[in-house]
Amino acid sequence: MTSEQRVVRPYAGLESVQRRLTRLRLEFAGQSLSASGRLSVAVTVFLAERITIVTGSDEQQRRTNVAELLEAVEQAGFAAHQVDLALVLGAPRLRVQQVAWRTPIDELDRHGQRIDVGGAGARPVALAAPFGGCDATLAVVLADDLDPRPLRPFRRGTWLARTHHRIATDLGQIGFTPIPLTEEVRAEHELPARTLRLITAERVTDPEMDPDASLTVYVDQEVLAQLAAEPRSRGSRSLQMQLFLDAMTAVVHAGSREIAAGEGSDTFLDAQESLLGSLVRQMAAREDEVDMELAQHYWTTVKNQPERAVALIEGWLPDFKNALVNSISEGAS
Amino acid sequence: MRYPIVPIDHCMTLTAEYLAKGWRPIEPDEMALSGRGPDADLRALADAATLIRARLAEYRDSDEASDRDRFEGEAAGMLHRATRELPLMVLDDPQFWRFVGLQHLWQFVHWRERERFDSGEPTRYLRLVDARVPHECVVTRMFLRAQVARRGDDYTLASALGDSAELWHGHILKRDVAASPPLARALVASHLDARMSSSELRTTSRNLERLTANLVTAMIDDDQARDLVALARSTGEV
Repeated sequence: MTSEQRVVRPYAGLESVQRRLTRLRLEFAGQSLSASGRLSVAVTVFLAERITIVTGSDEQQRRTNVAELLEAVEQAGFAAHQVDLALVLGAPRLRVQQVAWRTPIDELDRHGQRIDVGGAGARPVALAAPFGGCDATLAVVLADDLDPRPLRPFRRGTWLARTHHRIATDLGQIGFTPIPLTEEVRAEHELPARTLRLITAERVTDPEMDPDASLTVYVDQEVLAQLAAEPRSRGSRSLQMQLFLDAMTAVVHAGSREIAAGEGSDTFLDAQESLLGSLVRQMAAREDEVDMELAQHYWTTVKNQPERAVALIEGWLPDFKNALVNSISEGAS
Repeated sequence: MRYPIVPIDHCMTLTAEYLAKGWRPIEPDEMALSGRGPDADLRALADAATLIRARLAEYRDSDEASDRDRFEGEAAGMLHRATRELPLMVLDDPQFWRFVGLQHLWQFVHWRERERFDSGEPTRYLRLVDARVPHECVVTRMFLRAQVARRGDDYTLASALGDSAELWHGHILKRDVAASPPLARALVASHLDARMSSSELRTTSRNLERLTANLVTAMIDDDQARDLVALARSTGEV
């Protein structure tokens, strides 16, 4: 979403509903999904597990959370029967969105502390499509049309509050498969015969762009074959890390140009689903939670000081120094 | 379930080879497979592809030949009907769609986007076959178009409009509206009733995004979609 497309909320008095909704949690495969956060799981786990709406850590907490959510909805001027709690799951590659579970909010109290969604037999599309992952939205939503009034939602389906979550698999991680830099590719890009690497990065701040498509890394055919033959040698590990760093450097510089040119948003939040957003999100992750303030700081660093951002990425790469030192000593022996 | 795939590096070399020397089938010994268990039944896909190629041969000689988008819409329904029952894991896999585009529908894909292929620039043509961006790759965007247009087994809405690439590619498939078939169908139907100029289309599309930004689009039904599109069209420039 670009900054011009940022959602405008022309409504008043819904902050309390949003606050109360965030007390409800989503869990997947026994792990908590933080609000606006992202969980990455193995494909087998993704295809087998279900999502659980957790309304409280214990029965007492559940009662309090449900009662206070209901109270917030009524204080915002809605009758409880006019409002539903819904879990919407989306499969972004297949462009499918489904209401996977829904209940009138005044009937939420009838459900237990843990509400399982997407078990065997009724598996939502989004939990069967691991390449694109699953977008999960928990929303407090208007169940019926109301009489229009200023600053008050009235259309059926309008969300009063919502939390977004993303479940991804290792099939959709940041990463790249190096592509052989063949004579044909060199000729197409007008490169000399001795060029060993070519990295292209484009639309890295565009959340509409599949992150995988923003980056292409070509490596000399022979070098790539050697890497594939001995992927665990010290030299290979070092080269793989160096390639990753080179690729991320290209992403940072492309991102810096795009933001400066106004093609990308100044705000991390608007672009977190882009390739650069994925990188920044991982750098700003602290114990499964994204530190949004830190993420915005990194985003601004990319824009204003791209060289510093590259240095920060190098510091964030685990074991880079060891791999490099070992590779040098191996080469000298 | 086991199914054929084309990894990205093979996709690049095959595409370059097809452009240089013409199409040839992917040989069994170079075919990569993904998944386990019984092979996916792809006979319907092969039949649909044969039909699409035969129809293309007629279409290229018809008076409508310049409207390549209309044929894309027609073929979209045929492709979707033949693939819609495949497991979601297969349909979600870009490597499978590379196989579909290169093995079964290359002649159509090349005809549909020949200017971009003729440019000789991989950055311009690769995304038409690599399926990394579903709304840009020809076969995946066809699948999505038919998915949106479909009513039961009826796909006529996908090709009901002539010269509608701007509508489908610019205002439906790359936008959030693609995730709401009722909304997308209502927009197409409205355009079909009274064709919008490019400028009117842009305004309506923008208004529709504003109107739906606060809605859970998965909850929009056909009636509400019609009302929203009518409102978006009548609102004018905001």
